[in-house]
Amino acid sequence: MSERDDFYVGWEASMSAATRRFVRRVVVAAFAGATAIAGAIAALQAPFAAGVFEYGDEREFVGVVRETPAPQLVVSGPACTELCSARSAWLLARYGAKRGAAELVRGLDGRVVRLRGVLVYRGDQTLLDVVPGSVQAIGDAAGAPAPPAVAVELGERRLRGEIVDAKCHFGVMRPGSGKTHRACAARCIASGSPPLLWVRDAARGRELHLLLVGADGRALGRELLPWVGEAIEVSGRVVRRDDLLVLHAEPAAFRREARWAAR
Amino acid sequence: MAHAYRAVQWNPQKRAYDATLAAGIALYLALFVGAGFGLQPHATLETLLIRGFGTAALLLLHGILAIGPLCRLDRRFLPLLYNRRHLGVAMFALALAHAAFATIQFHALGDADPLASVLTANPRLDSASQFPFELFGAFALAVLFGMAATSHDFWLANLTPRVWKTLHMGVYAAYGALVLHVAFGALQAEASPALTGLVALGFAGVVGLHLAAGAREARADRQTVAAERDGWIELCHAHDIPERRARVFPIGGERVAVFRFDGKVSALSNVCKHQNGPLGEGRIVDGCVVCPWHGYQYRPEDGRSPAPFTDRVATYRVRVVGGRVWLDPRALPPGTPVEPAKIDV
Repeated sequence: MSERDDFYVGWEASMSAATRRFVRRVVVAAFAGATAIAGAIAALQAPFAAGVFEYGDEREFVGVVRETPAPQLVVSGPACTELCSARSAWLLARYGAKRGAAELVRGLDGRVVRLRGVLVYRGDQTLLDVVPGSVQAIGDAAGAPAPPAVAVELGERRLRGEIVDAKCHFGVMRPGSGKTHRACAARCIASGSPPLLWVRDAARGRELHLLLVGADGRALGRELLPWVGEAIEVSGRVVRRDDLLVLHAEPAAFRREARWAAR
Repeated sequence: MAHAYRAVQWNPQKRAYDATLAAGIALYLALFVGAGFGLQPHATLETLLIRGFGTAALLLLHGILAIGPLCRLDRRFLPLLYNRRHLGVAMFALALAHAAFATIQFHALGDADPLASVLTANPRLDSASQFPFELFGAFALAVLFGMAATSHDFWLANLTPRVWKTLHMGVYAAYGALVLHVAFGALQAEASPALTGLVALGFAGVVGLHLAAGAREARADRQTVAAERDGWIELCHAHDIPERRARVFPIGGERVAVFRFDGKVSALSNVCKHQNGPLGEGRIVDGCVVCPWHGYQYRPEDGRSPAPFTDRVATYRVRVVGGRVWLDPRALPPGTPVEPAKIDV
């Protein structure tokens, strides 16, 4: 054995052959371990929902603005594109920000508008991300492509679900629910993105999205933040306007589920 | 050593170390994102990058924390320790990328300042299950920033080794906070118990290695001296100390490294002035005791680093009688010359 006894000194130009062999084995093992862990974590992630955000694909749409209880664009016929066959109420948000579209369509309730936007959709639910400055009123309600919707009362319901924001949950964020997304949903809802109660039947692979409004139909925002992203139970009156389900309920009557919120 | 500072004093080993580290990080991220898209067709690049950076940082931190005890248990791991701070800075960079991407993704472009939103968006401080995991991550990132920013020897010398070491022991607080960050965040959002198992396995590994290394140190500290006479204590036979190496003795709460070389014996404090490395686990090379951690050198006869360096450690008086090594347990001021004791048998 040499004086050095394979003693390693890092500031020297080289290490002994024995030390080098050992270090190589350790590095190979570390790389193999990191590879296995990267693959394992990637595989163990919960499935990502199949939402679509057509980022960058701005298109022109024509429809009737509905300002309350949350900004919507009622589209029908060819304006529906491939997403609806007859008539649909699309929730609106502001493209390029965590913002609602209230300012973009203020004063245009019932008016026919042409606007540019980017579609966000999940299943049969659609949100239109409106490009700021693109909204043009082109007619009044009389010239609307479809008559005003009739509200259909679906009665009092008790529903279990999670409060999400429409924009993220329909496809801008994946995942757009659960605890790690809670802060984002809170930010979006506080900034005017439409709040939804997301109700799902995992066993049957079905889900519903209901626009959450106050019992009197007023828009809800910041008062929902303590409840966002958690498993809750909500009792309220459900109304359908076009294909949009609206849940009238007061946050004071929300109840937390015992189990933790899951995606 | 305490002489002049350069940003990094590159040498071939250091270049190889950093190149291997960079390749490992790139490989991990590429595999994670690639496998993520391959296995999850609806995944988004933003989400995979946030998760990739975060998991890479946590995995690297496990490696960083394992290196210390591994070196105590098996000296062959020492080459990994020499540039460990490079791992630390890289780990901080990964954690910062994770935090920056997550902050932009989840908190920017809304109604509030993104950084304020990180701390306030989840108000459920009253809930164990819903507690805002972001707070643990922010705390850990702040600790890691303090360590990364002061990683250079410039700060070690100017903060003093004691303050610097205390600051850098904060890595354990950061690790604990990151485990909580993951436990209160991703593990609650994910469904697979195997992910919880992975985190638990990593935690158990870090704790287990530290306990094993600590047990070994404790065993070494339980050595008893053979005899005492006139204030001197008898340690061992001179030939019980390997040539150009040392045996370490716990003396009055301190560890003393007693070296044998060229038919002589000298005793120094076991604590390197650089980062408190164990000098007694070093070697005598070219007439100097060399610290196994970062190669700091001290002359055995006076505990001083060779010129132009100026570091000093405490020395002890020794003598050899009938082949037995005796030590005066009163430490002399750092750098005090002491004539090495000649081995008489």
